[in-house]
Amino acid sequence: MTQTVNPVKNPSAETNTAGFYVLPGTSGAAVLSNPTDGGAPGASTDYVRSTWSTASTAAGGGMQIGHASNAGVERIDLVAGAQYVAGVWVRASKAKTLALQALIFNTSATQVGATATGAAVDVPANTWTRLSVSFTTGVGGVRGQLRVVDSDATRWLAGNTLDVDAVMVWPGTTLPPYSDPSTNGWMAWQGVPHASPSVLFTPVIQVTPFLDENPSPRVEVFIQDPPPGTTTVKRTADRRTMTVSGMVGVPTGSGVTRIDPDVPFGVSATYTAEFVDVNGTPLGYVSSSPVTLDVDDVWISQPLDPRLAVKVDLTDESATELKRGFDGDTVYTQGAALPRWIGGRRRALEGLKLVAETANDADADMLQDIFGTYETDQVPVICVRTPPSYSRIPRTLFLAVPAPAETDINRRYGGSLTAMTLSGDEVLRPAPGLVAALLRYQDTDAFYGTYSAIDTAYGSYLARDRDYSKAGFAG
Amino acid sequence: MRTASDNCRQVLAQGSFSFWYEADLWYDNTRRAALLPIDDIQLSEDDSRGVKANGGCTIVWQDDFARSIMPNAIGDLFSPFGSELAIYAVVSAGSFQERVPLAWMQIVDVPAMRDSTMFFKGTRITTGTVLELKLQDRFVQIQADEFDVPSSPSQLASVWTEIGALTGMKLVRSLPDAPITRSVVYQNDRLQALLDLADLLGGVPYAASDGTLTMRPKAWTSPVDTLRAGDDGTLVDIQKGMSADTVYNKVTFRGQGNAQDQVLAFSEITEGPLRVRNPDGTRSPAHRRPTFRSNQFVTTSAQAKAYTESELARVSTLSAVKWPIEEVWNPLRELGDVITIVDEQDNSVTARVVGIERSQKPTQRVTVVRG
Repeated sequence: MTQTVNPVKNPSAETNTAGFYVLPGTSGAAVLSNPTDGGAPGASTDYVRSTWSTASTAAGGGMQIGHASNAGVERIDLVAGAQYVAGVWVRASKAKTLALQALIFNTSATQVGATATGAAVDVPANTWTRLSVSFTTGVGGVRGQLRVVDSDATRWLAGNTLDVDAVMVWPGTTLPPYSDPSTNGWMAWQGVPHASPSVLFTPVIQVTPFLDENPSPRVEVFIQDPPPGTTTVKRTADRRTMTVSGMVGVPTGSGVTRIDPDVPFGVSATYTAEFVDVNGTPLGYVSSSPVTLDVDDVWISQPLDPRLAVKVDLTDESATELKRGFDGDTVYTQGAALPRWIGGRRRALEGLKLVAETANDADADMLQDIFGTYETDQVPVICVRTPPSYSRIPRTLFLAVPAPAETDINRRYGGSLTAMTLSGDEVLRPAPGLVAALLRYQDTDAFYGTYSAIDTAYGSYLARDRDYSKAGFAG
Repeated sequence: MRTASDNCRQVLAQGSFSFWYEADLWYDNTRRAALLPIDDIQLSEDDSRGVKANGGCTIVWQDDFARSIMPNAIGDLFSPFGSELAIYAVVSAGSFQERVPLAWMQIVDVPAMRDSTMFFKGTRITTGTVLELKLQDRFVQIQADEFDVPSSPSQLASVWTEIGALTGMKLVRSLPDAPITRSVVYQNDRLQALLDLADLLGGVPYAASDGTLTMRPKAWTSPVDTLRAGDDGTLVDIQKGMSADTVYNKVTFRGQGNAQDQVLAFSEITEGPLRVRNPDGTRSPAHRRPTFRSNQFVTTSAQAKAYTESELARVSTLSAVKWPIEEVWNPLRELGDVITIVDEQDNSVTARVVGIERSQKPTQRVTVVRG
């Protein structure tokens, strides 16, 4: 699990003061208000202010956050027997010594264990200061309550104010700087904004290699716990970076799974996802650990439909010369002995010739189908993947072949070998956002027969989407 | 000259380099697409036109999701209703790269567009779109926007303010402001009104490469660049010529004052080879070659005389003869640049750029008038 939850449902009081309570201290009286003129660092503009009308006569006055029995926004739900650390930003109208306390209750609103009290901090007048306390919930402790209390001798006097903002209860022992979904794109509300727990997503990219030939060696790119929004994934391998097929601006949802059928063989590949929030603001990048596909064959596939893939042998005539030219010209200026080169950028591979041998008629048909049939159209751009032991062409090569030419090798003598000459230029992959899915709903539908059987088999839609063992079951 | 770093100037002036164009699509003051895949770009600038820059390019678009970007309705991307291309030139030499803003152009016409499509899983997808675009600079909108009725300046205190009011464009006030010398009635043509107003400041208005309206002085500045032949130079070819067509030795002003009275003035050359007559009154070799001027902002004889004097200085030189030049591609060259041309015989000539034509070729055609 790489999600972390702040169970405080109204952490920065942006819309109201629900979940915050006066703690006026002995003999004191105070009221809460919800000013909007600038909150604690990272917590937007609003905060909660307690204003004393009657002075307290003993230490222990301040503010309370969370309720032991009230449900809804006012309750802070915790996990029993877990370690937490809480942080609260406070500001007082005069210099005070304040501390944060954590009280834990069970489902009957009875306190469990002793009150944990954090370090007493000398808070200067009118200065936002953060208090923290570390605690464990103990057996049966599932509700939390935080209290800001004073311990110095000056007491809360009539007219004094205490401001509280940015309440965070975090699992573990390390308290990060305060943030919530209104200021941090990596976070999201579980329900109504400013009235539900907020979740911090820490996405992880898992890359799983599949070496089988159904339809060709490939990897699954799985993004776990992505933040809300979209993601675009790029593959860095063989000293260059390419967009992964079908992973352009993908809505993240509860997780993203895609097959990368163009992953190169025998070289280390790293996948990097860029996340963009729902408003189009880039959030940042997350990379996978490198993966290497240990394959020693040559595969040719159709980029728009990875089910069209075939293993071939490239003959010695293939890729004998790798030419990458330039646009431009030499220019002689008037009276000059030497010309100067004025040109453009370097081009990709041009005039590359590959001769692909197929072992049997089925493979030869597949190689023809990659370019389309009498009934189906295809773009004449093919994906050629070669192992590093082969000639120094790009390990993932998109080649535009305007005139694929098939020649017979020994079929007319009873053999099964044919060859196809593929001559063309290296090009961009067509429509990188578009790719035919290997696993379709109809595959799982056909495998299980009924929706209830599917629901029983998988705990989530994501689990169903990731069960690539059913790919192609419906034919 | 456009501004650029010293490194960029050195790269352009000495030795070999690479260049290409980049373009961003803007609509309604928002960048809608960056780094468009453009090809076949032509940009032509001509000082004699009101809308100085025009051009064309081809967009070769492959969409990530195989959608068509062909504009179908007003307001679509690339539709010729306010969509604009910001065009840049990238100069590159090894790790050095500099992007020079070249032009801010309105898409005025999409004369040809085609999609290539195919069937994919039961739907028709677009595997590529080719759009041909015709471009003109932002003044094309001023030109099209004629006055509803004859109207007059809203105020007389500032020429720049009036230009802002007339055009609605952002201004870069490159010349000192001056009052408008009298209230006049604007005729039909808004662009002509703009030119007349700019005349008061001694400037030529143009749409700059950042989309703003600015002016360059009509008066020649000191040279900003030297064009040279030989190994160190960038001059490829120069076609010199001489013509009497646009050279005059007399300027006559004919106009009206505030009270509809006639305002007349003339200036003529009385000495030297262009003299209008010999000192003894006989016919001179050049004889009289008058040219006529009028300007509704000139209302008194004194103003008219000053006007003809300044015009005479301009039209009585060879500056009206145009020389086509081929030079190594240089994105910094601008209309109005005063340059020194050093020819094979080491003769220096000062000239001013009045026309530039660029494409993807390694050289560009520049038209100059000599001073």
